[in-house]
Amino acid sequence: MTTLKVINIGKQFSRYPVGRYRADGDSNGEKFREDVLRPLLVMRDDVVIEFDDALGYGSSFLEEAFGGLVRSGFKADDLLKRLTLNTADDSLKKEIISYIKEAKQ
Amino acid sequence: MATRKVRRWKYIRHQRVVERKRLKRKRLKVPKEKFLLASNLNEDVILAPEVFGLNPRHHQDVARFMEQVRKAVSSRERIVCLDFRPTQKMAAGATLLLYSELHRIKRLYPNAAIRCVPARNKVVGQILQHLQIYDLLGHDAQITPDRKDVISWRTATSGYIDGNAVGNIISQLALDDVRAKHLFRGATEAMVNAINHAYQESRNDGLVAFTEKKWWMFFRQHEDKLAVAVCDLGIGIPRSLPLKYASEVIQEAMSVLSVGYKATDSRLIQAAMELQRTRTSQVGRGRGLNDLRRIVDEVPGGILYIFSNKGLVQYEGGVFTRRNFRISLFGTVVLWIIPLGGEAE
Repeated sequence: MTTLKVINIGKQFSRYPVGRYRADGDSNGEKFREDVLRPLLVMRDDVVIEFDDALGYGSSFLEEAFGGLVRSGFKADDLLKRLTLNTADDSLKKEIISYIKEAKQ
Repeated sequence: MATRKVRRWKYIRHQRVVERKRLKRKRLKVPKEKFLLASNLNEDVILAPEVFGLNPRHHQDVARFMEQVRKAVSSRERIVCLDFRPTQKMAAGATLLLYSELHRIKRLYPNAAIRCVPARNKVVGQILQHLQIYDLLGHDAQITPDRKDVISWRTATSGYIDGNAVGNIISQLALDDVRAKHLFRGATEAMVNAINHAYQESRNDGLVAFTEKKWWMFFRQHEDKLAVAVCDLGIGIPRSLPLKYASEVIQEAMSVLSVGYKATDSRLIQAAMELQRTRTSQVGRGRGLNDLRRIVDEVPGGILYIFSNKGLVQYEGGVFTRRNFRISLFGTVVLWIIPLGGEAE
């Protein structure tokens, strides 16, 4: 595995991420997890995610993208070590961490 | 003498009947003539309410008007005429309800004969023209809306979860990052709720079945306030909640709110928010309806109203208040009033 990869959600995925499943439009949490996040986590040791260029995030999107990683087999502790969540919004960071910690495998 | 006595007795009896009817109308608090279908041979004329508002003073008038429109259209026998002459004021939530219901009716009954009598009030006329409600009702109004408080109304609608439709409008509003971020979050979660939960069963509104999942949205920026409303014409939160949670779970959530276990619509709406707050750790659950209140927590002076079927839950300054109405809206309207001045926290 190579080392580090930075992904900017607002610039590289969607400025308006919303919804949980693929049926929920074009910029949903499942799509972000399966098409962007999971391949990066398989190929890289560490992934940096930039959040602040998107307009905002609904809880459905965040829970499915990050809680969904745990449900699909990633260990919560491992994810918390390998993911760097870059945002000026502390509450957003806490929320994502809570989705990872509280999701059940 | 006997004849005079009979006449007198008949007069007294008539007066009693009149008085009983008067008291009955007073109890209903809605004068009967306000909603009178002024009918002629070919058409049903339905008088629009004086104020299109969903606050407790006007909720019943609006809900009854919408009920009358649905009933008249579904009979498909005569021309339906919406008479806007009495209307003096149009607020965001109720106007969105009218807009959504008329769009839905036109989708269901494309050949329905619906027309309107235009509003006398100039501002109301401009609103109906700007929102293309006159167009929808086949009225060719020679009005060019120019008032700032009218042309600031923006609309969005879709049949799926469309972040771009909402995001593009929010990006154009003069909002700071905090307001824009939380508004996007609230508005999109209302949209997610509409698409994923509102259309699970029939609306049971007397119209033919509507198979599309749709939401409608208004943004209105005026002076130092922004009003944002999201509407769906589905089964409402009080009916969708029992489809998602077991009855014991709902009862438990309601018992936390206040004493009493009566499942009124407003208690069910608040129970839905309570359940999504406390059960986020469960598989695949987000904060859902709780996302709606985030902007009110962050922006001092903000107010959230959730009207769903017969219930209203209002959230302001960290406090919930509930109210129930007599007539159902047959759907959900989420409305935020956000002050634009001052610092968001």
